[in-house]
Amino acid sequence: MKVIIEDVSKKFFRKGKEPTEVLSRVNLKIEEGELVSILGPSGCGKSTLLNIVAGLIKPDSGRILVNGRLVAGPASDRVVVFQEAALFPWLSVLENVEFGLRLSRYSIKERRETALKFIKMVHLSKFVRAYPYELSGGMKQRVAIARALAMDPEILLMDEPFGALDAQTRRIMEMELQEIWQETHKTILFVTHNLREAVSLSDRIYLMTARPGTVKGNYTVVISRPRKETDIDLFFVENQIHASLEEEVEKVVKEEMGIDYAVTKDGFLLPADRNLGSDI
Amino acid sequence: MLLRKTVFFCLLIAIWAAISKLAVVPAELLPSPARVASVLGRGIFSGSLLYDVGASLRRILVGYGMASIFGFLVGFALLKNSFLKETLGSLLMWLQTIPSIAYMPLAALWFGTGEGVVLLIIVFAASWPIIINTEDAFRNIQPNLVNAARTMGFRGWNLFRQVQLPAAFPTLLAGLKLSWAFSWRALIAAELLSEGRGLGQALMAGKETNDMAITIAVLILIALLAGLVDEVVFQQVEKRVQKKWETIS
Repeated sequence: MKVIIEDVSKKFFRKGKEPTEVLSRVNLKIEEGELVSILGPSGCGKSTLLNIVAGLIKPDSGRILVNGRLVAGPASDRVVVFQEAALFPWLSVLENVEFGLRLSRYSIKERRETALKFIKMVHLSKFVRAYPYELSGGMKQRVAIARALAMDPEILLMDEPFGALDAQTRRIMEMELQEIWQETHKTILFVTHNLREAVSLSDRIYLMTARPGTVKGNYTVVISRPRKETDIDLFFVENQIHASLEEEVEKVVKEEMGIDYAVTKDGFLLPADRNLGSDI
Repeated sequence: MLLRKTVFFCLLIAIWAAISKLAVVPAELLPSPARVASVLGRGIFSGSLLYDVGASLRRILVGYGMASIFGFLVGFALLKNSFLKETLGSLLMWLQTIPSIAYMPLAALWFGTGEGVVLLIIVFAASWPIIINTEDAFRNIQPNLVNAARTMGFRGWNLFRQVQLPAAFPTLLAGLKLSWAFSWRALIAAELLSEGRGLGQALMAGKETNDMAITIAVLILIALLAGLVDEVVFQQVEKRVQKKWETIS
């Protein structure tokens, strides 16, 4: 087992407020070379969980094992691709991708070769010398992916990496991630709130409940790759998960809207100035 | 850009020349541009003005350098320690509302009217913008940049030097630029009131000999020296930096 997340719980404390329980006894496992998604409504703590695996946040209880070693803090065996590319604006594309290797034992030449290899993999060879401000959102995210891959991590952590992209770019990026994954067979933990994205990318999907987040279901997606947006099999799997996810999303909406949440899924809204029968 | 500037300054000098030619203002009060230029030229070629420039430049470089280091360290300390920020931070804030030259009488009494006092006044004036900007710069670094680097194994000194420092650079630069202007003000004010050679004293020489051509020549020299560094160093660096940094993803 590559990654084991065991009984992880997390509360956030804020001054003058009740502590929020974000994660409650989360358990999940990831095999070597698997692409696993964590799917859940917004605010279910899936990003927090990913940050805990990255070592950026400490859990209140529970533990994380990667290759049998306990996670004690951030390290280069677990690299994160964030929703915002988080590129270093003062470095070119090439320097950004090389950046993580500065701490490695690689020679300058090896660093350059490695960086160029992964830049090529994300199809940015033409933009090696460009700076982040010259790139589009999708291109920045490609650089971030190349930068993470260049580190050759044990596991690649992706926190809604395509969440800020427009729908078309997003679809292209999803296709490319599949290709990259087939080429490198990295172990990937992918966080998303998008069911379609989870189904088209993952080997397995962990569905999370609304806050406090915990694992609600575990689905295996057995569809051949590359998976296209239009594959009918995707819809089949989506439908399997859909109802369960909807339940959780509804919980969130209910909590946010309070008593205003009176609209059922099959119902329809009556206009406020509707005729109550006064003209009878 | 350059053309507009040139035309503007030529026009300004022409108006000045016209005023002194028409003798609207007595020549003792407003000497002609030609006379100012000749005084400036003579001062430079005889070496006496150059000596003053050298003395002032040495003071400002030392004072500015000290202010930069001191300001950076204090700013960083205020950032890391909230107790210091609440105590020392507020004291510094109060002190800085007083123009630094106002400390001159006190400082002169304590330390004499020599070199040290001028440096002290410069450091007082110039460290404030650096303190503020240092604190601000490091506080407002995008957390994701640091987090990304941390997951790539960076920490401690490596993280500071390769991520936090460059990320903070634009704001640090703004502080350095502001501080440079503050330094000049403090320098000239302090030199006017202290002893020894320097541009401030050269200004006074004009008053004592009743020759405004000297004073105006020195004023122009000061503007050129301070402005040149601003334009050639700070604005050039700033332009490049803004282009890259401001559009952080």
